[in-house]
Amino acid sequence: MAIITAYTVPEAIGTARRAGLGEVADRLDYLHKLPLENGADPMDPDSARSLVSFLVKHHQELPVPGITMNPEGHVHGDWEFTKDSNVTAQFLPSGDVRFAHASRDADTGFFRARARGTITPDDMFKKIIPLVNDAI
Amino acid sequence: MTNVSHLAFLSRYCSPSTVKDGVPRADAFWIKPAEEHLSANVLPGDLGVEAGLVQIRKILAKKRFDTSPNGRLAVFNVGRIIRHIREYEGLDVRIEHMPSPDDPTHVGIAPAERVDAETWYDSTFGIALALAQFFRDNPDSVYPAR
Repeated sequence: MAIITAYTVPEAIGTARRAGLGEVADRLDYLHKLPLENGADPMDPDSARSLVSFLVKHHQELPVPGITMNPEGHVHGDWEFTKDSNVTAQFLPSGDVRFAHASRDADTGFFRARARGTITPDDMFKKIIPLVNDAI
Repeated sequence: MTNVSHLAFLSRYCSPSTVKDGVPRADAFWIKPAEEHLSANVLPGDLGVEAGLVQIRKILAKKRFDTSPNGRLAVFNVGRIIRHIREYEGLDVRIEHMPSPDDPTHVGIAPAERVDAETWYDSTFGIALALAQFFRDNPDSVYPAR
């Protein structure tokens, strides 16, 4: 198991790149270098580290997520497994994730929130891996 | 403060850090813990979306609100988004006109009920997710910020 010891955003980016996650590294580098608009905070290194740690550990089982950053500097990963099911995860500086799963209601055709909570990355992986398998 | 008409259209500026593949994600609709609402702008009612956005861009520039060429303006109808959030999240929201001297079009979006901090945090997360889903389903409602 990889041991992640990055403590700055560039180090987290370097960790991603060394692990072969060039797309993730490029995206984090882009977000990190964007001008801060309207009082937004810079990228939180612990949030970036948490995301990279999760992806290094699980990149063989999970597709690369869409990565964005909120005004608090926390990074999010979005996985759209099918057109009818997606997961969003906010990687908190504490190491936990705020996780949400939504899917389309078969009867109404509307998307609905299905599950949500603040959990550990390992628990989130257990929740989302069945969704990946369903999509295959 | 008055409620915004359900017939009105709003725009929300989405910074490049919150946009992926041209579509705003949940981060674009994030209400920071210290904030009372999600800010947006009501489009002038009689111009149509494209011309209305021209006015909004002028207002944002005049009040020195930072925008980027890679940012986006996400546009939505008030009545439709209220129904969408209710359907997605089971949550009622209030959308109120909050004009200021430098921005007569400013509106605030927030959970209809002010509750304890934990519920508020969860509800605002739900609003962000619901809005992100709306624009996943309606990417044509996203326009250049400049």
